[in-house]
Amino acid sequence: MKFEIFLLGVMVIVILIGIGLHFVNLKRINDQVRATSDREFDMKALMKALQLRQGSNFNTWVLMAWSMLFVAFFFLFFLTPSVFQTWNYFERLPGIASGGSGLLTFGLGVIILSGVAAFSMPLMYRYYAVSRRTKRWMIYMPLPIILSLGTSAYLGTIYPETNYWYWMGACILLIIAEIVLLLPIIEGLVEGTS
Amino acid sequence: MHKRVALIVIAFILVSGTSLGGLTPGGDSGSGSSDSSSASSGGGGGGGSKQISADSFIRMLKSWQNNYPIKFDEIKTLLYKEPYTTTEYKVPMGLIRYDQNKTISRNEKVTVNAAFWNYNPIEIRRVLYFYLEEMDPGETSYKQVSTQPQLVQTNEYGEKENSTVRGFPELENFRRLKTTGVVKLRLKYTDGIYDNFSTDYKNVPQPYYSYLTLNVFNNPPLISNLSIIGNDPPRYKDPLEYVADVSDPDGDLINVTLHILDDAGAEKRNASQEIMPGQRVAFKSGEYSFFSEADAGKNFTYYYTYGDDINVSRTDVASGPHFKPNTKIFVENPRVEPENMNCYWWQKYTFSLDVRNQNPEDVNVTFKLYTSTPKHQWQKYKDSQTVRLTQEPQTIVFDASPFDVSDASHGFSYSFNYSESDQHGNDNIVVAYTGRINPKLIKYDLISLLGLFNLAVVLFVSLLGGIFVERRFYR
Repeated sequence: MKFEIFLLGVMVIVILIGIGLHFVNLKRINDQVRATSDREFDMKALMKALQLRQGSNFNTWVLMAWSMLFVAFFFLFFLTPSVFQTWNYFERLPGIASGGSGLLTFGLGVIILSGVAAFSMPLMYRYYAVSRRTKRWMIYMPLPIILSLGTSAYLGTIYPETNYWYWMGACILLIIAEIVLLLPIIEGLVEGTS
Repeated sequence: MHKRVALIVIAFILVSGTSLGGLTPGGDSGSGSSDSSSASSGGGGGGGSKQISADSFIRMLKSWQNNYPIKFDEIKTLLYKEPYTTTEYKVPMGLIRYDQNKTISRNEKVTVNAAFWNYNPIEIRRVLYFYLEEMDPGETSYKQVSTQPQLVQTNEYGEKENSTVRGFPELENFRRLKTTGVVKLRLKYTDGIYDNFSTDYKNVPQPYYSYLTLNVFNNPPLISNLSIIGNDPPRYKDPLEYVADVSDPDGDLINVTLHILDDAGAEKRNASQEIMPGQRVAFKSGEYSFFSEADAGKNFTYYYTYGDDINVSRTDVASGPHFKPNTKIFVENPRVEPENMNCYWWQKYTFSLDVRNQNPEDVNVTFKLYTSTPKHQWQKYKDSQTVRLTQEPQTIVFDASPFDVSDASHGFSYSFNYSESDQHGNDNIVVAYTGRINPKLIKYDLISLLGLFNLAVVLFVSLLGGIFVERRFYR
């Protein structure tokens, strides 16, 4: 179980690093522009000037991807007692969890609770020139996320039986999806330092 | 005391300014002398003499006593008051004074007083010691009510009537009497020389009495609200409680005896309790082991006797209890079969019990099912069954889904309860299931209509959320 918690920590840290890198990028740009500009300006105005449209379809897909990423994350770690014995949906709300709409209730709850975070993440992309290739990769990400989500839901339906490889597979899919969704920021950092 | 009186008289005469013009005794000749303790500054001549102070007068008397003892004795003789002779001493009269009702209950407050008249002059009066004496019902002699006498001092009589009245605080009521009837009271008093009784006087007008006759009666205890608390009709081993309310106006301790009669009217058992009035007496059948299995199907009656050691009464015979016949049923083979081997919590479980009646008469018996898990202790299944049992074996079946998700992965027990005794004298049979409820929580598979529906809704809501947010905030 400790390894699962380690993986949870990894996923959380990756997101936090991504957010941190985004602000690092912005600051770097700000510093560069100040160094070369002969006029005063504030960060807000700079950020407004830096924004790029990414397209409605792209935005819709990445919004859905981030929302489902959070749902899949909670399904993976907090649906059954396999990772956390006490703090999990089955243990805390067994009556609802075992009902006919138990899974969707949990999913909807996560969407609502993480909505602000999930639907805010794609705001970072407007400050980056995301390449077509990267966009394509990102648009495909709902698929592995759905696969991970489905695997976690399956593990919930067979609980107390468990399947370690299924769980690891779901986790790896999520980590990959997470990294791909943060690619624009990583590429922005690489470009800025090169 | 006589000397004091003499001096007072002399002082009175001197202070009032008599024309004696100073009391200078002089020598034995009576002529005036050089005694300077003159009452008058002028000497000789009467009238108009100055008043003398008491201290001066006393000094003067002392000087006369020392210097003119013969004259002083003569003065004393002239002024000395003759003593009273004891032959004229009148024995004080003592009577009882009472102005209440003469028919009273034991608990009723009584106020008995002693009245004394003493017509002797105060000088020859003596202290009076007196007792109140009482003759109880059935007794032939008086006895003192208190061990210590009371006193009347010589100066405690009223000036006009030469009388006084005293009370007896030690006599508040006659609660201590264990019999009722006529109580007589009289006074006994003495002045140290003469012993007297109030009964020495006859034809005394009320409210005075030479002896007081009181008719003391007892308020008997009362019992009410007789009842039997318990099932109706009960079985012989059901807990029953015989209760009644007890009271006594005199506040006496009451002895209550319950008498249980069998259907022939003979006394089967009795039990007694002592209880204070105002309380409820209760006799529990289990505590006193009134009934046994042999009493099943029989009718009983009961009554109480109760008393306060003076009056004893009994109630009418009351009906009850009427026991149900002791039907015995035979139970065996309790079992449970889950819907399938998985023993999921949501499945149906069939609980069965084989029963038959051991008596030839048919009887209706009600069966109830209880299940117990660590999360739900002895929960009753909602339906019970009432079955008419004959000597033919029958199987009582309960099809139930008694568990919920919190019971998953736990063991359970179950119990059949029935309204008649079984072959062991019990009214239930408890069984612990040897297996466990399956720990599986979700009853459906993912690859099923319900499972896929759950997932699809989550995906759909995510997509809708993305569309809404994109349109609203990202454009």
